[in-house]
Amino acid sequence: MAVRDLSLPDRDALRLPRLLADQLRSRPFFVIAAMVSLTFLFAAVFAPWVAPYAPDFQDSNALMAPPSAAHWCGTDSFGQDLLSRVIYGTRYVFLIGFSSVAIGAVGGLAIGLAAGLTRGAVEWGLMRFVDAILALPSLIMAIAFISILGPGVDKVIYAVGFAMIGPFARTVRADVLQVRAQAFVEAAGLMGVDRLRIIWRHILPNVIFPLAVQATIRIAEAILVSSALSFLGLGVVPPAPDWGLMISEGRAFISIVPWISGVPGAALALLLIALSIVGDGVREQFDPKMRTNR
Amino acid sequence: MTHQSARWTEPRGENFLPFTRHRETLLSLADISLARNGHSVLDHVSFDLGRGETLGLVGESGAGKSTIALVAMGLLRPPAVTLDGRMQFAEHEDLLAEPEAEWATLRGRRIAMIFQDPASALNPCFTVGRQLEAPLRRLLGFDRVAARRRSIELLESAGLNDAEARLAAFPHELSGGMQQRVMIAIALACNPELLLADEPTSALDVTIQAQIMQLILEQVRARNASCIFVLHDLALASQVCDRIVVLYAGQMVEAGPTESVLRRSLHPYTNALKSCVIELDTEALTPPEGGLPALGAMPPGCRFAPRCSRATAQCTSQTPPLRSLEGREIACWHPG
Amino acid sequence: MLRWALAKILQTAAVLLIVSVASFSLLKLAPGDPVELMLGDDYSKESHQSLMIQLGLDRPLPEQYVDWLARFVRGDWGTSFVSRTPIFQYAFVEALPVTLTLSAAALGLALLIGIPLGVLSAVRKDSAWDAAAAAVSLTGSAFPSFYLGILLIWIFGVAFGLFPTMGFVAPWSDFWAGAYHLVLPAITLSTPFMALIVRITRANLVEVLEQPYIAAARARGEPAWRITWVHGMRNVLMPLVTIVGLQLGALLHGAVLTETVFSLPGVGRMITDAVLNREYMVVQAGVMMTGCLVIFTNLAVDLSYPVLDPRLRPR
Repeated sequence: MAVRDLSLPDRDALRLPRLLADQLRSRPFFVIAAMVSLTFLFAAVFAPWVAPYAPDFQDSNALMAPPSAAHWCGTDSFGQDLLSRVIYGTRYVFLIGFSSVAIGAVGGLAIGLAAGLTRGAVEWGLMRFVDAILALPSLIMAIAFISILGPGVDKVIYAVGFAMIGPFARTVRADVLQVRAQAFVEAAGLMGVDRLRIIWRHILPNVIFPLAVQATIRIAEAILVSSALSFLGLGVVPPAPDWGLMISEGRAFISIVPWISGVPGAALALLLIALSIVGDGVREQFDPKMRTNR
Repeated sequence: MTHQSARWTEPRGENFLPFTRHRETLLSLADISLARNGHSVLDHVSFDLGRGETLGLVGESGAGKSTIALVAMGLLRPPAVTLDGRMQFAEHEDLLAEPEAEWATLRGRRIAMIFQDPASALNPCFTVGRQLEAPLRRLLGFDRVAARRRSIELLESAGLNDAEARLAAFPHELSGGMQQRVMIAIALACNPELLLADEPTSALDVTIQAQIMQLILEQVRARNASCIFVLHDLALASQVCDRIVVLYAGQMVEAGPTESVLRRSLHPYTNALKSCVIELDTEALTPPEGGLPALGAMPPGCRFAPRCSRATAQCTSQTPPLRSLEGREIACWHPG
Repeated sequence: MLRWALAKILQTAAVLLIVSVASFSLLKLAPGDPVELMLGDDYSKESHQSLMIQLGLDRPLPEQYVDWLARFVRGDWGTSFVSRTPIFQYAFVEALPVTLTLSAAALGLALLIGIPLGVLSAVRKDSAWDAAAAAVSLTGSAFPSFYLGILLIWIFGVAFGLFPTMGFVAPWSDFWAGAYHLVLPAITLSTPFMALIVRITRANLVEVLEQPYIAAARARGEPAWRITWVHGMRNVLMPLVTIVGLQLGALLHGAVLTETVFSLPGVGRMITDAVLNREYMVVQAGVMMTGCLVIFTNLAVDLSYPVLDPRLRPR
């Protein structure tokens, strides 16, 4: 008995590392990818403490300097430290990524629920509306919104968010149809339970969870589209340390100083790959439909 | 056993060819053991099949009956599974050891197979004609016209009317019974010496089952081919098979001429299977309780012991050997 | 069958209508006064008024929409006030073929390489090759294409000087020069697509190869290559066509970026420049063209199902 008491705190202390080690053994890529993503998130939150320089500090003695002890990732054409700018850039990445996915998910939930719960002409019309949103590639849709809204971080969030409503709406509708066809919902309907109550008690809980899984998967897409917008010069305005913008700025110097676009480009690629592995892992874990295929 | 499609009938002499021991051996399986992912699926299965003989592999689903058929067809081979033992087929002394190229000369040509569910065993994207003519043209070297003519003959002999139109049909346009007739026609297209029929009627309507069984037997006899039926229905097996092999959890428990095995079964599992069919009151027979052991958790000794009323300490520790007793082979420490 | 096709066509028409209304509203919602933009800084109130009437901007919106749609269908898409050329000529006759050529090259490349790799992965399921292909295809599908384009320019254009890094030569006037100029853009655009095709082919083929009809075909003595490529792939065709059709939007999305990276005068570059120049009529034309392209492809995919899968044909 005494032995067991002694071992208990030990086991508690070991729990997290052991859990991590177990996970690392069974799903190494997922754990590594999750840790990479969390590192980026950490960098975004603590940017002022982590970054060696301010994002707009211009070192006139080190213009387009190659990586060195002073500037680990080199500097750009203004002498700005690339590492610091990439670290500050993660703030834009996550701010835009999370906010636009939130807009897309909420909008998609509303339209998807409406399309899934109505029948006949209304449903048909709503679905054609979703089809129409889906007919435009998300980037072109976002560009169209930007052309109306103008550039800027908030505008990018709206543009990317609106462009993502379509795919969310379609998955929500599919989930609603599936839940609606299940016996307990039909039974509730037959028993004369209030319609709103059915939606609230039965349908929403069954739709929200897959929606959350979808949202994790689509964050990478939102980040890709928003940085593409900035890359095209239609998104975040300079001199903000946005990755897409930095890649675009570095293009002109690609033959002489490849690291100017290389550093933010590598950061973007790394984050997107990590997020898509995390997304795949989350989907495999939670989406029963996906479990059959790898 | 959930299916009780046919009533138990005493085996009658005129229903099957008389069993003779002097027939030429076509297929001989010796000590076939198969494991998948380290789990034993088949454990030392051995039996012979004579030319023109019909043999039934009987047992619950999961007993390994279909696995034996797939092994005999060369469709389950290492490295997908680990396979031990020897399989002799006609002039091939040890077919399991031979390369894929050797199997390729046999499959479809000399060994053919009929599957359980014809709806999923026919490729949904190709017409009946394409699937029937392919083996004729590739394996027998028929030209387009000859293959077509032969296909029509085969479909007609398989009892399909309007055969010419059927050739242009897609599988989903046919009923289950017609699909199985097509499968039979395909399997017998090259006049194989050995036909493996894996539950050929269990996916079909009860009303058609008898016709399909009849058709298979007729066609097999007309070609003097041998046939292995994989069946879970003991009553059906008693009507169509010269000999039966009863399997439990990958082990042979009792094997021999149908009549002697069924008239007086010596293994408690065979008795239990019979009790699923016979109307209960004559003897104190009980249907087997529980289910097959899980693949990863095979009990030591006799695998039926946990469900057996006669089980003793010996049964749960030592695997009973297959031995000859009263005109059959049996693996039981306490037969009778 | 006919009813089904008609319903599909009706749906498509409704979607087209919504997209056209959205494109029309784009012009109405765009900031700034279009008349002012056309006249430049220096104009009189009268000329402003007369141009308003001339353009029909004083009429009610539905009337303007119908008028605009009628002109759009006839190919009268207005005049660009930057280049002073008809937008139809600029967008449809000049830019669209560039984008279509690039997309077709990328799609062809993706199918040509992606399908065999996917098949190999499926046939050698769970082998080291399969794991490597999965890792590469995951990386390929997540990699930002515009950065990939820049990397390719740096490696093959600048460091090795193997391929041209910018400009478009029409393959129909000079095939080899055109193909040569398309190498890097096509690789850039096809990479995420190829990755997707590898994944889809593998996942579907693995599932198909477990079907009883595959075992039955093997039992009939079909050789291994026919099992995979004829019996297996015939049944993978439908999901593959579906995904390829649905992903056409993603292809156009990538084309926008690829055209910018490699300075190709296609629809994507056209839209980007138009937004920067505040030429909303050109943006509108670009949105309509991509929308129609995606919608008609989706219709074609839907209508091809009965051809691809006999089970969907009428009895």
